[in-house]
Amino acid sequence: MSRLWSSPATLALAPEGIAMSQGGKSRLLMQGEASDWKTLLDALRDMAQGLAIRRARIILSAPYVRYAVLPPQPAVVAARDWQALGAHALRQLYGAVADDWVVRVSLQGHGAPAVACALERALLDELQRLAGDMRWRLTSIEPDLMAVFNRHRRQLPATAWLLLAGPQRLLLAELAAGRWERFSLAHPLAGEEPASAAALLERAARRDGAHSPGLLACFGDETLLPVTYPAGMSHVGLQRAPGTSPLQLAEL
Amino acid sequence: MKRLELDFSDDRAGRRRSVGITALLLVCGLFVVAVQWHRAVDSRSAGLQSASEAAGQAVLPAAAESGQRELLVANEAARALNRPWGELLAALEQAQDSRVQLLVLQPNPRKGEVQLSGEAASFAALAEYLSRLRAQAVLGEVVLNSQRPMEEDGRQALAFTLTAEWAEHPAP
Repeated sequence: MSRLWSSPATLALAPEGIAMSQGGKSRLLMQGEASDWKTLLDALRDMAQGLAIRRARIILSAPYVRYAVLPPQPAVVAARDWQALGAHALRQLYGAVADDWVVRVSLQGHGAPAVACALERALLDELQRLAGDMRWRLTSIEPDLMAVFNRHRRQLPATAWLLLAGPQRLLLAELAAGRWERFSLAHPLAGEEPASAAALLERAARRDGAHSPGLLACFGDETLLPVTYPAGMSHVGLQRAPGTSPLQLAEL
Repeated sequence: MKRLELDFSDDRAGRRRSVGITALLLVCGLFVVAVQWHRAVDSRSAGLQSASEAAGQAVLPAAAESGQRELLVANEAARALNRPWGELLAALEQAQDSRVQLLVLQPNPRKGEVQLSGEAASFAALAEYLSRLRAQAVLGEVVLNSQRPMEEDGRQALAFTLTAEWAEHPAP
């Protein structure tokens, strides 16, 4: 019987591998390039019997999730309506493929923009099937942005930019006055992440109406983060922290 | 800033269990607080009671003495009020005649007597007055305390004082 007060095991799934954190100890369960999530879950299933997990928290890396910011809708109150708005916004952004996604919406308050996040339905089903077969109770399945932001949110100013940099993936999330304003994605070639990140920041800084952040918080390995920053951001505070590799995610 | 909630787990059972555990802890907490509060109130009331008992031993005699005094005064007033004032005045009026002039009336309800001072035209008039007073049911024994001759406007008279018992319950 699982103890009510024990923390669940955290499993982080990223294209670079799988990591687990349990009882304050973290370890890589699998390392290596996984072309898609099916390969990743097959590997997890193979080793699941020996993991001694009863409750599991899953953190999914950026390549497996999609984001959108929903504009404020003061007339919309019901969660079901927000869910429909989120699905519609993602369909507009990504096309018909979004019909096979499961959408979650995080409301930030009345009259504020909301955050929509989508996950492939097949990925979610497979995770739940694996958990059922292994008798794990899934306490949470969350995207990496949620894990990173919730861990650091108390240290962040109300207007800040978050850059999550992983191998061949960049996510820039803009917060203005405590509200999510915009998400920008980039998929650079291997080795071009720092330059692509600098270009992403440059575009964001020059965008009309963009709020100058009080802080740029970068999460990822040093080799993936930009070396230079846009001239207009010279006054902006800079914070670097780990947070996108499987092991780093598992420790959040 | 508000937490970002994008959980796909749909762990309703877990949330229900969390809510249940939270509610249980809340109820337990309230119970403990209630027990502590009850104990505090009990202890305080016991302290007050013992302090009151200790103080009561010193205070009670004084209070009793004061109460007794008040009771006596009240009894006195009640007794005075219970005296048959109407019968007394009626008796005095009835005993009066033109040869006797009543000047001072001093009732003393506590002693149950009344002192009268006045003037009589003659000793015979005074003696008859005494007889009429003694005939009144509301008055008991009537004693002539003093008498002295006096002259007023060229006429001879007798100044007198007497005391009469004032019956609490006049005989019918």
